[in-house]
Amino acid sequence: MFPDKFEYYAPKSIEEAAKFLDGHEDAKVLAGGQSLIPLLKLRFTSVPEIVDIGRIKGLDSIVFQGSAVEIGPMVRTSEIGENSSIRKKFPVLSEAAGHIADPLVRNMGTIGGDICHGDPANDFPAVMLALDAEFEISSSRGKRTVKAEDFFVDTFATALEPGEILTGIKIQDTGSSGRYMKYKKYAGDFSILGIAVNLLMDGKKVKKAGIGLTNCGATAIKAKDAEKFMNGKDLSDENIEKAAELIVKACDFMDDDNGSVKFKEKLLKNLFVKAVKGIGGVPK
Amino acid sequence: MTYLDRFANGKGRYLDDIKLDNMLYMSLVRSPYARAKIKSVEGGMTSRDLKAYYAVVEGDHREPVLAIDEVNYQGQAVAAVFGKNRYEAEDLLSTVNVDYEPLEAIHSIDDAKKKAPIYADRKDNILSTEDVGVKFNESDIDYDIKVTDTILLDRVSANPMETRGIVADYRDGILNVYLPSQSIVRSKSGIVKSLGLPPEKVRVFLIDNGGAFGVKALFYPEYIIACYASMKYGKPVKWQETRTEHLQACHAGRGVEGTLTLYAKKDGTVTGLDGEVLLDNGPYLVDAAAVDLGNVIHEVTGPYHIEKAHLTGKYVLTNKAPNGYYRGAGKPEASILMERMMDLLADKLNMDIADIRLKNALETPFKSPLGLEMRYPTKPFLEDALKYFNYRELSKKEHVGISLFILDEDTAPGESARIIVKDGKVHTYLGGNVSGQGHEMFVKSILSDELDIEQDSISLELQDTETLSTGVGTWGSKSAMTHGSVLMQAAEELKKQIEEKYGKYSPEILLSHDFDQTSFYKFDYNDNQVNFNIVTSRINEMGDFEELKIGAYYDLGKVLNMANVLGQTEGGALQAIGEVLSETLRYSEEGQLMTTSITDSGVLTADHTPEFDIKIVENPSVMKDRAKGLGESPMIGIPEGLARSLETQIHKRINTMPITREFLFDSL
Repeated sequence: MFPDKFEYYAPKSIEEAAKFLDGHEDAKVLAGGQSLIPLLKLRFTSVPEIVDIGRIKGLDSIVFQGSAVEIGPMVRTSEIGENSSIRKKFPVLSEAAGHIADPLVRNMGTIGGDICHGDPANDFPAVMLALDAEFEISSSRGKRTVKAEDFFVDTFATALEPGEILTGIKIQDTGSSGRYMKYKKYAGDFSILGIAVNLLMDGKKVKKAGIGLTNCGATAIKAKDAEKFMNGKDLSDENIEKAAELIVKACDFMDDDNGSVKFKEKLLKNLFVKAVKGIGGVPK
Repeated sequence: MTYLDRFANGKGRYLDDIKLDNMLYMSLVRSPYARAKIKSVEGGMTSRDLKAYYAVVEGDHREPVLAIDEVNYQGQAVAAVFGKNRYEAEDLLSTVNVDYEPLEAIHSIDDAKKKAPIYADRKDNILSTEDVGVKFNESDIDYDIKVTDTILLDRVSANPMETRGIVADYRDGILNVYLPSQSIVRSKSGIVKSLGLPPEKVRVFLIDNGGAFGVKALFYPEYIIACYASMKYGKPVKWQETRTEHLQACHAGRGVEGTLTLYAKKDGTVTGLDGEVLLDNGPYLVDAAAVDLGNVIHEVTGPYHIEKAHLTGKYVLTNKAPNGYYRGAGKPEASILMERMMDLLADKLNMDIADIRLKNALETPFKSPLGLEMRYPTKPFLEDALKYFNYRELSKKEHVGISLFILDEDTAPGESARIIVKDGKVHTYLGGNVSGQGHEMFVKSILSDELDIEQDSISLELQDTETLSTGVGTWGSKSAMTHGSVLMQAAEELKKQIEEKYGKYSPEILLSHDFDQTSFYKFDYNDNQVNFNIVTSRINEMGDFEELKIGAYYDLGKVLNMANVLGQTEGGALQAIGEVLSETLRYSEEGQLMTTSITDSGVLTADHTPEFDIKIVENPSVMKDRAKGLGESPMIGIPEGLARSLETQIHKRINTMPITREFLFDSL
C-alpha cells in the first residue's frame, strides 16, 4: 500500500487519545483498519494523523451486567460472531457478524469501526438499529450517550463530532430474538442489501419489533413505521406483507450496479419474510 | 528448495522482490477520461521525451506508449514519474498537470454502432472486417427451420494474482530486463522493435511468475517506458502495477458479441451457419485482437460438421483498454456461441440437447467450411462421454447442461529447450515460460524416465535470452505437448552425444561429465482434440447455489502429471463459473470503469469451488510425448454447460455473460 504521508499515534488511554484529538481536528481514529486502510491505500482519502486506539486497554471486552450487555468498540467481528452469550441473547448480532467479509477481515475488523465508518453497506449499523443500541461517546469534554437511531447521519457521516471516540455499545436484553438476512453478490462480501429483524414476542403477538436495513439508502435505516405497525400484531401472512410494504417505503433505493430499484424492493420483501419466519431457527 | 517450498511457503522471487541499488520506481499519470483531447501536459516524462509504439503489428491507430495529443481510454498512460521509492513515485503524480478536453466516449459494442466514429479517417467505428467461409443464399441450402440469437460475452480481466510489472536495468551498454513473462523471447523482440535497439544489446531474464492467463504473453506501453527511462537515467527502473491499474489499463479478454443463424432440418441436422461476430477491440490496433477474433470465427463450428458456413468478424472501436488475451483467447467464445445456439435449436425442435449434438458430430475427421481441420472423430467421443456420466438417467433427475467442444492447441511451430549437465546436476531451460502451472513436475518426470536418473538431480531453471535465445512461449494449451516433446528429443540427442563420445550411454557417464544440449522440436501445424463437459446445478429460490457439480471428460493423449491436470481443471473451472456468474469489467455511459477492485470485478473465492467428476481418457496424440492440451479446456467447455443448467431452472434463455443476480432472482 502506498498512502499519502501520515503521522501515527498510539495512545495508551482514552484520555490521552481524546486530548490528542482535541488539537487535531482532521485526525482519524483507527480501530481494526478494515475500512480506513483500504481507503488510504487507494488514496481515496488521506489524513494528516492517525490515532490507533488498538493499544488502549479495556476497549475489547464484552460484559453482561444486569439486563444489558456492554460491548467495547475494539471487540473483533470474529469474537462477536463466536461469543456464545451473544449468540444466545442476540442471535441477530452474531448472525450478522458471521456474514461480514471473510475470516481475515473478521479477525481484524471491529464492531466499533464497522459502526463509526458510516458506510450504509456495513452490516452492524442495521443490527444496532434493530436492537435499539446506545452508544457511549467520549471526548476531552466528557461522555455522552447517543441512541443508534440518532447516530447514522449520512453516507460516511455519523453523530460523532471532531474529537469524539465511540467507547461503548450498550444493548438491553429483553428476551427478544432475531435474524440477519444478507443478500450478497456471488463475488465479494458487501451486501446488495441486508435486513436485521429483532422481535420481542408476547405470546403470539409482537410486543416490540426492531428492524434495521443495510444498503437501502444513504445510511443504515431504522424502519420505524413497520416496527410501529408490527407492535401488538400477530405474525399472520397479511401482517407480514403489510409490514414488508412499509419497510420498502422506508428505503431510498437507486438503480445501480447491484440492480434495479424494482429488484431491490422485491428482494428486501423476500428477505424480510425469510427473517421473520426464520426467527428462533438456527442461522446457517 | 522444492517446488512447493518455493511457491507455497513464500520463497519465490517475484518481480516486486527485486531490489537493486539506486533503483527508481515508476508511476504513471493515467487519463481519468475515456476519451479526451490533451490540450497541455506539464511535468513528468511524456511523448515529447519518448515517442514510440509498442504494437508489433504495423498499421494505423497503434497506441503510442505515452499519449500524443489525445487519450482514448480511461487509464491510458499520459506521463511517467520516477521516485526513489514507491511512495515518492506516487506522490510525484500530483506534480504533473494535464489539461484535458473531454469528448464523447464509446463504452460498448452497442454504443459503437450508434455513435459517430471516434477517428476522423473512419466512416464508422469498425477498425477492420474479416470474412471466413463462403457467403450463401438461403435458397442454396436444405433447411426446415432457422434460429437466430445474439450472444454477448462481456469483457473479463485476467486478474492473475501477480499483476504486470517490469524491472529494466541499463548498465554497461546492455539493457537488462527482468520480466514475469510467458515468453521472454517474444518480450525481447518487442523491446528491440519498439525502441529500435540492436538485439545483442537487450537481455531479458525470466523471474518467478505469479500467474498470467494470457496477459503476460503480451506487450505493453509501461514496459517500453520503463526500459527507456532506465537508459535515460542510467539507473534501474521498476514498475509494478496496482490492481486498479490492472483493471483499468491491462488489455482485457472476451468482449465478443455474436449474432448467429443456424439453418437446420427437422431431424436436427444443421445444414448452414451464418452470422456476424463483433469484438470489443478497444481504441487501438493491437496484436491480440486478430488472434482472439480469428479463433472465434474460424473455430465456431467446433466439433460439428456443417456443410455451409460463413461469418463476418468485425473489430469494433471502443474507448476502453485494448483487447488482450484471456485464457482461451477466442476459443471459449467460439464454443460458447455454438453450444448456446445448439441448445436453442434443440429447444425449438423439442429435441434432447445430447441428441442434437450426436446428430451433428462426425464419425470421421473433417474440415469445416470456416477452415478448421478437425483431426479426430467427434461422435464416438461424445457417445463415450454421455455413457460415462450416465447422461440419459442423469438428465431425467438433474438440471443438466453439456458441451462438446474442440481444443485447438497452438502447437506450431514447436518449441526449444536446453539441457546443461554440470557438477552432477541436470539443469533444464524451456523456450516457453512457466506462470504457475507447475512445469517443473513434468520436466522432472520426463527427464528422469528418459535419462534414467533421480528426479532430485534435475531442475527447471529460470532462463534468460542469452542462455536460451530461441523459444516460442507458453500459451494455447500446448505447453505440455511441445515442452514434453522437446525434452524427450533433447534427452535423446544428449544420449546420442554421449554414445558417440563414450561408446554407450549410462546415467553415471552423464552425471560425471559436463554436457550442453540445445534442441528444437519442430511441429508445423496446430493439433487439436475433442472434449466434453457436463454441469449440474441446483439453485434455491434466492438464486444461491445448493449444488454445483462439474463433470469433465477430457482426452489428454498421455498424462504427464496428474496433479498438474487436476489443478488446471479445477482452477479453470472456477474461472469459468466466474465468467458466467460475476466476472466482468463494467463501464459507465462515460466509459468510466465501475469495477475498480478485484472484488467488484467479480473474481470468485474458494467457496464457489464446485464438486468435480474428472475423467481423463488417453488417446495418444501425434506429438513425441503423446500428450494433448488442457489449459484452456475448462474455460471453453464449462460456461455454456453452466448456462444451460441454470436456464432449465429459471426458464429464461441465457445469452449474456455474466448474468446478474437480478436476472437470476427475477426469473425464479
